[in-house]
Amino acid sequence: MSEVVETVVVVGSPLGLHGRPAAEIVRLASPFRAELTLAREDGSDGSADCRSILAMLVLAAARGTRLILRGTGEDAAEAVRTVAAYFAENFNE
Amino acid sequence: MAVETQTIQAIPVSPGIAIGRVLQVHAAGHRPEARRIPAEGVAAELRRFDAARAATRGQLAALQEKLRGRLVGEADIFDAQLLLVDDRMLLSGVEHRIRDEHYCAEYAVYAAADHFASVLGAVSDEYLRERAADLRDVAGRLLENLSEAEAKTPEMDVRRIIAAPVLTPSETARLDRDKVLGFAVETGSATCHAAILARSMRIPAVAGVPGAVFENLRAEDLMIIDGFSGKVIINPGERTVEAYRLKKQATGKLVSELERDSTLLPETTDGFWVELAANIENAEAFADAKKAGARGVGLFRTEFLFMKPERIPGEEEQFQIYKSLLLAAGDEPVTIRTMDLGGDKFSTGVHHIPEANPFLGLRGIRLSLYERRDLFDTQLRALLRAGVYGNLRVMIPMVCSTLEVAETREIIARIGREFSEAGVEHVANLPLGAMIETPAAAMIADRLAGMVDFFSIGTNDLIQYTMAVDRGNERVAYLYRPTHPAVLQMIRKCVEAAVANNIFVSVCGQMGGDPMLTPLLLGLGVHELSMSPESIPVVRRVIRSLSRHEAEEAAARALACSNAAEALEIAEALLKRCAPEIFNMQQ
Repeated sequence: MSEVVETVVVVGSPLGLHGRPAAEIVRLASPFRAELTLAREDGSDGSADCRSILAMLVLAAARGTRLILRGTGEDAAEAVRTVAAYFAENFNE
Repeated sequence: MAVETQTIQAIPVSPGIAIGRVLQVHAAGHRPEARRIPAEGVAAELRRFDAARAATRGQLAALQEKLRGRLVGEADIFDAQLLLVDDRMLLSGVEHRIRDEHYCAEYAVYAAADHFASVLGAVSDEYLRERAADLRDVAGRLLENLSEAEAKTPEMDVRRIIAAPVLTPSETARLDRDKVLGFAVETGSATCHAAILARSMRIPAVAGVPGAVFENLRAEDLMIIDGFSGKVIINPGERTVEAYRLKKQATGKLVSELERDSTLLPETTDGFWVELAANIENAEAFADAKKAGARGVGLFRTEFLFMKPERIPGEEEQFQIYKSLLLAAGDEPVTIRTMDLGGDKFSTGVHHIPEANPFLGLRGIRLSLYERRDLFDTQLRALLRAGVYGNLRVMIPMVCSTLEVAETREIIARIGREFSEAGVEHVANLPLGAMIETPAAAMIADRLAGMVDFFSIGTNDLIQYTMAVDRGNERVAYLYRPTHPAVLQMIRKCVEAAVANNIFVSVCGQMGGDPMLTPLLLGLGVHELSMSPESIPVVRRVIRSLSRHEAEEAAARALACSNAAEALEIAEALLKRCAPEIFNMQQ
């Protein structure tokens, strides 16, 4: 039984979702087994695998962009919480 | 069959003369055959891909190590590329093409990388577009590692001139440096990778060679590149080759003489002293500046601090950078320009909003005061603290109003008060200068002169704004003329205002380092010329070859000219008479 957990995150950093936070998200996602994706709230541009820097960069999410963070699998809830917290801290920038 | 000689005017970016056969380095990304493999071959193909990845990873890591501590940023490029080699989306794109579509590894790598690079390349964000170039560079390396032959280091049987549309760090890192005579590149300027490398290798280089030239080059073409004048000659005749051989000898001797003279004072024959300072943008270049006999730094560009959005240094890190620069300079002045972003120096993350007309938009001091005051504040705090370690001057770019100077002074005063209250050591009475790069600033020079401690004329932008010309636009670039009477008159206005207010004038734009124009700047009364370190020895020789009196006389006549060509003739005639060896070098 796969749980699907979703939450909305906002890109708060003035620098947008660029290389450094993308790399950090990959690192944060790695200990979990759940699949994690980010997608634009308006549904445009498909969804980005949180384990691919390229995929996240292609989202080109600037400051203020609202994204849907979705986790699927066993530890989805914890995975989503961890990554969402990172967004809430504005990527420490 | 007679081969046609072609003469091209390019931009000189590293001095010297090279005569030799050409080696063309083609743009990476040549497309491999879309070969299909049998179903049984998939596993083996995936293994080939893994092996190529491992080899690529190793090479990138080795390059990172080798380049660390060398040119600023060279190692960082490979950091970014290492991340891409293991990127999940890229990997799955390649594996899908091998496993499900039965393409060979070469084509799978090429197609996957090309797909993502195109997506990234189409984005408006500059940072992301750069990652597209990195991705193509990585794909190129993967393809090389897949090919059976030895990593394709270009055949360097004899010493050759490297001709390329662009030279990426990957490519230059791979060249057999002992065999390179010089570089000729299409894209680039004095600060492009190939130019910086050429100067540190002390070989000639030219940039801005029209692309069509590269398309018609053949392997055995003979080429002459003149890193003084920027001329490129393809398949020169015997007499031309002979003439350049002589010029090479003469200039070689001259260049060593000039270097030997680096301790001589930049003094005119009638005893007037002009300061010669260096324009640099990283601490490493400081050593070159010292060697060339620069007295201090007339322009330290700080944009590099803000170009990597993932790592904008905070107050402490900036403080350390400025402090070490000041300590290295001893008691010689170091003029640091506050962040000058916007226009063509777009940095993702500092300034997101796309503008229809960035050159007339939010850049320079405007950006600092009205959009990123937080970053400006941090930079000023770091500068004020670092100032106690040496002879610091700070200047603000793109000034067009007295209010900008007043506000900057207020911020500095406030920071000073905060530091005093908190007991933080900082410099009091920090010399603050205004860059004169807009016609507005030049026209109100008399008002600005009373508010600042010096002027620094940024001639590149001043000329563009004054002549209403984008020098990068080939159709109108001919109008970009430093000797246009309007430009000369603005410089003169600044000098007059400065003298009336007891402050000095420096010129830090390209005009300052052009020996052909040194006589005019001298004659207009400029006090300091700041330039790229490699131009200092030549300009010193020019200064020492003439008297201020004759320079002033020439400048007065130039100011009265009705067009740029006439004024330039006056400058050339004077240079030809007083320093013919320098005049000839520029031809």
